Amino acid sequence: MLDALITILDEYKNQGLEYRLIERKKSRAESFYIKKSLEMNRGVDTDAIALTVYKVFEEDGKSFRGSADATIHPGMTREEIKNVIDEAFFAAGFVKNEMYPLEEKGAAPTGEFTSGIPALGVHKTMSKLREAVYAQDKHDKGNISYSEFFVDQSGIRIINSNGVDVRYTAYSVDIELSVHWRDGGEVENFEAYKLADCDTALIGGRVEKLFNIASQKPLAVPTPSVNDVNVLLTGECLNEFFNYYYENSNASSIYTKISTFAVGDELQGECAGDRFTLELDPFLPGSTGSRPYDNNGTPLKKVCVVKDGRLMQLWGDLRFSSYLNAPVTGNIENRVITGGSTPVSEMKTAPYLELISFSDFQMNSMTGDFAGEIRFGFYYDGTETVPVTGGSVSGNIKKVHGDMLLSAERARYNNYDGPATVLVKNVSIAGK
Amino acid sequence: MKVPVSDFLASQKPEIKRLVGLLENQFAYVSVLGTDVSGKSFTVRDKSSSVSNIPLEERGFVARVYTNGMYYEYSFNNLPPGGADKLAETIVENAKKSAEMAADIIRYPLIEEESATISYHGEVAILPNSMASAEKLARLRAINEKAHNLCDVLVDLIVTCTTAAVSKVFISSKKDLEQNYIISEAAIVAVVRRDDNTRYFYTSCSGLKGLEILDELESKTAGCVENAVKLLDAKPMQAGEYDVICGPDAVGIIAHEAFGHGVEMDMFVKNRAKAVEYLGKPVASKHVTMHDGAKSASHAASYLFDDEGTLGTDTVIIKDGILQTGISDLLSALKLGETPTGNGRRESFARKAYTRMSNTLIRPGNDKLDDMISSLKHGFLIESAESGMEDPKDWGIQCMFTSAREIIDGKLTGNLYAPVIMTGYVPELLSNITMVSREEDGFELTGAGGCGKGYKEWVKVSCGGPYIKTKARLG
Repeated sequence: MLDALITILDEYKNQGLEYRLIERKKSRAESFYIKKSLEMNRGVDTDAIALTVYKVFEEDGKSFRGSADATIHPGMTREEIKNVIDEAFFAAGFVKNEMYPLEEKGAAPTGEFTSGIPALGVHKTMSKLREAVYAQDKHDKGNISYSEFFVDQSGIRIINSNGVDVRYTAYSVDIELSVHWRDGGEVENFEAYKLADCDTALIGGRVEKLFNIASQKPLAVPTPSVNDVNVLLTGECLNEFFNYYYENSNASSIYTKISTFAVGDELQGECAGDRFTLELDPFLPGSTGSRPYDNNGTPLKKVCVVKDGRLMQLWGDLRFSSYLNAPVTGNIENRVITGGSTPVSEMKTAPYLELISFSDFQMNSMTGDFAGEIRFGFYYDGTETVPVTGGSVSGNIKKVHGDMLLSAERARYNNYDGPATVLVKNVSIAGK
Repeated sequence: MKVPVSDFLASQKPEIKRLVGLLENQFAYVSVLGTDVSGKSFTVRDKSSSVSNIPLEERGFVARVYTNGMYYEYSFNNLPPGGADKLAETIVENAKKSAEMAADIIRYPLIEEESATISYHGEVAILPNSMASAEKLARLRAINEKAHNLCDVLVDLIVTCTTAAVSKVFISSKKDLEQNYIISEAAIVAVVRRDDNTRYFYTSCSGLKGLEILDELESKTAGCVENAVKLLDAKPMQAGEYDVICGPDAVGIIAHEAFGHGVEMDMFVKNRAKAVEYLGKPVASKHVTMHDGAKSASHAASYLFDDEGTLGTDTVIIKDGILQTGISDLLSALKLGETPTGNGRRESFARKAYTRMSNTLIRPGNDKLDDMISSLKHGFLIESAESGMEDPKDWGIQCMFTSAREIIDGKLTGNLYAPVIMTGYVPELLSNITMVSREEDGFELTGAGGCGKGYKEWVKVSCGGPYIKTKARLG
């Protein structure tokens, strides 16, 4: 299919058509369980090509590069493919975007992403992960109520009309499960994990923690209305929390004026707390965001975006970086946050509200507002610590990052590698 | 204009039927769902524009077979002429391996189908392909320019229009179903800034429409920009419990998160739904009647049959405050001994079918909106929803809203508070509903965006209702 498509695309060369195509050959195994019993197995084998065609045109003496996307599905006839290309090429002529270059055949990637999945194979990986999950299902009062396992292997090839032709294999594991605990009533604790390796220790540890929280949930009291205590954010919400800096240092956000960040800015302003460092690492072990090339075929390498709270450089793809004359980093999904030195135990010497899990913690990168319903946490009033549930936390990052503290302890959640806990002040708690 | 059939599915149908025939020699139940969803998303911003693929795009098949008391599924998108034989071999081999994989399995009954051969073609005023890309982009640019003429603090005005031509066929030994319809959605995001304060307002339109949706979008431009500018003066919400009036958009998300997810019957099978203990019991005030179904409304999630070949229905979930029943996919209904409601939906042919909502709504009541507002001593009117999260086992709820308008002594003060997070215990929130507005005061569904199950499996849904008065915890 790929060769036939390239042959057809080459026929448009004399009309000025340029292209990029991404071929994805995906193979996935899925298993679904209720308690410990298998409910269903599924298999998936798909193959498709995402095509982008480009047309350079002039208007009032200025050059523009228009583009339009299309999908080439297996079994399409030559006539169907030509129709798709004609339609996209025509549309691209009206997409008036400032001129930018296409990626050129260039350097090899600077690193390598390794995963244990290819050695084991998709089915063996699933079997080992399932064992790791259910090894924790050993409690009288609690059990796994259901689980879902997805192990995905995708062969990816990126080709463009400028000579780029690169390929790599991507792996992805998704696990979703809930734990029930009966102590008086019955409560649920739900989590979803994403990773790119057969890391049974990591998954086993997280399920163990899930049971641990579930066992304490029946004891939880409604979150009190306290607005003058330190709030300790923990868990996956931190990836969302730091997303504010990631999104706003992206070349696309700055070009479209959605972000007001500029290189050299002290992002935390006058800072009495910890100044953070943000690096983007395309080869972060175990992350589904790890890859040697972005979708343009740009080879990726580790970059430091924010150093001690100062914006050192933007990150972004070839198009938006070239608009801003910024170095082209390519699109990198993995974030590594450093800069914390305070042990969590020290953060807990004064009254605090430690938030362990949320329904759906959200950071609005445009406004800096963040909020989430509290599913579980601990409140320490200076004398005793009690588990809490319900209510919400809300605030604005611009009002908290001047004195936030990052823990010395670290945690990793798929494409996040950073402090395990962040202490923030000046947030609002809607409790009882 | 009648929505045409997919040429791809029409050409593949004989081979699909041959595949079903080959598999029937090996399995007691066989079905194949074929999908072809195509379209484009057009976007115009101040400094860029794009023509891109739509999130709903898919073209492929999923075969379901019954063996050893369980169902196995295989998703694929390559069915060359004469390819049914090889494919049948793959499916037989995989299904047999699957059945041998685990000693401990959940056994499901065999699906018993009634014969049906139905073909459905939706209608829209303007078919997406009848307008050239140049004109679509020009219409969106005109909205962008109109907005800029109205406002001098606009940082970016994002206008999008997405059309999806949905074609699906479902073939089993007794069923030959086909449906073709178009879903469109269009939206404006106005981003405004004053000093360091950035705010935005989002407005959308959606439904079983074609490009006539662009006229509707144009009419919303001025309101969207005006609302965004007002947000620049919004105050932060003081956390607390308040009397609130929720508009159709907010009511939709409350209904969806509060009791839509809570009555998805695959959650009953997994013991994940508290609702199962409350069937036939009060869960809301007597003013609340709630529906869900492909036939509950004509909107973005209306279809003839779901992704398991079950015809869509209209389910009354809550009637006068009493929980009646849940909604179901085919396998969950079989397991529970219920009649399936036609809510078995897949993110795409490549994903599993789960019980999913379609069009979820609270029915209008008899109260006048003006009376509802004047009944508040101190509270808020909440109209624009952003997102929500379900908690079917423990009945918590989280809803995010763009803003809330302050009401003091029965009058809107003009003060705006943003952003707003609403949390609470579902039965408490619904039991506190004391007034429900009349249809003529505003009864609307919205179907832009999508709904996930947990954090994945996105499908198109719509939700809405009238205005309701309740008590809620805001932050």
